Amino acid sequence: MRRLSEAEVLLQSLGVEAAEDIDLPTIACHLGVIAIRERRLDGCEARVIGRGGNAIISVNASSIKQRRRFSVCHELGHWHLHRGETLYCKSADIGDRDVAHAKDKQANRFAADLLLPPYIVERMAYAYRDLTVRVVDEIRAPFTASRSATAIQLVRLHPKPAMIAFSTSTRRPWQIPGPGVPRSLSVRPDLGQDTWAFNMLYAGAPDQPHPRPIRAEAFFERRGAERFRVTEQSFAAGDGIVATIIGFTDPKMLEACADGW
Amino acid sequence: MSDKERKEIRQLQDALIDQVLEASDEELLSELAEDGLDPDREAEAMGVELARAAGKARMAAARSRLERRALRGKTRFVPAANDDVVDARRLTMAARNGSEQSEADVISAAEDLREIAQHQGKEEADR
Repeated sequence: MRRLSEAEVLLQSLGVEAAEDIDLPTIACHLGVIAIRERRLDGCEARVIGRGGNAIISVNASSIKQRRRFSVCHELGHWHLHRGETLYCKSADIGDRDVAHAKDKQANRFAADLLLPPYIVERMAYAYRDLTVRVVDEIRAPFTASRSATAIQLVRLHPKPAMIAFSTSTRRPWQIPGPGVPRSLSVRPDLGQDTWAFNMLYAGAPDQPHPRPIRAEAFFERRGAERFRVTEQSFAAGDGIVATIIGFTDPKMLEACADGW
Repeated sequence: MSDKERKEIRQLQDALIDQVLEASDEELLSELAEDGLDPDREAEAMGVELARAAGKARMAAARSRLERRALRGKTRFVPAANDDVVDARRLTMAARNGSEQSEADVISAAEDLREIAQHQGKEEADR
């Protein structure tokens, strides 16, 4: 049996059984947060200030609604997991930066699981045969979660092996593999020109309406990749980032990867 | 439903509850077995139901606190003694995607601390 995450334990202790039960202000109040403020913040996206058992969370009023919601959950994560600590991670920080970064990742995971609890999302995901953007949109609607956050959670929970990759025109792509997909499998920095993602990044193509098969070497620079095909469905994730759900439809490809392909 | 009928139903309910409370473990187990039920599974299901009810009650209590707070209105800021507010051992602070803080950020952080201290003072006084 899968071990529940901290956020899932919290939600279950509050009797949350469906998306509609996730009432963030009430959950925050239960944790001792006395106010959630939308205000101008110059130095950060969101912050939590706490003293003893009470705290105030502030989020940048100029951010979009879904990001504000995620930020509130991220700060709730710090409040729940790292109470009594001071964590302020700036890009120029050195020394404790790795520790702060690890705690930031914990807060991100807490936020994702609070917004899209795996024990609820998994039930919903199993009702769909394939993982597509349409499925992501149908599942995310009652949670008021973003398409990217939902796609990440679904890649982790959907029974079919998949990966979500994020590409930009300026930095190396990064990816989150689902279960059964080797962590060593990285998306190549020079995406194949026949990928929809490439055309979104450099030719202004719109979101890809349906997943389509494509040669695996368009995404993965590995010897032997030309023997396999994957599926691609790309969509705009904001801030010039293109997200791609890569489906591994050929089990032989994953076997080959596991064998050190 | 008449008062007489209501009274009879209540008496019947009381009798059933007494019967369950007075029954020995062996009697309860044999009754469950007669009905074709697994005692372990029934106990687990009852545990799940109790946990769910407790969770809903916690959520309801938090919602009611939140509503009371909203009725009380926004807390007015009052200056608090520095010693009262800034006790580093009791502070929590975290910021997401942080860069350099502006003066306005620092001021609003201090206001938050004052508001929390004031809230705690009020809660203490209410107790």
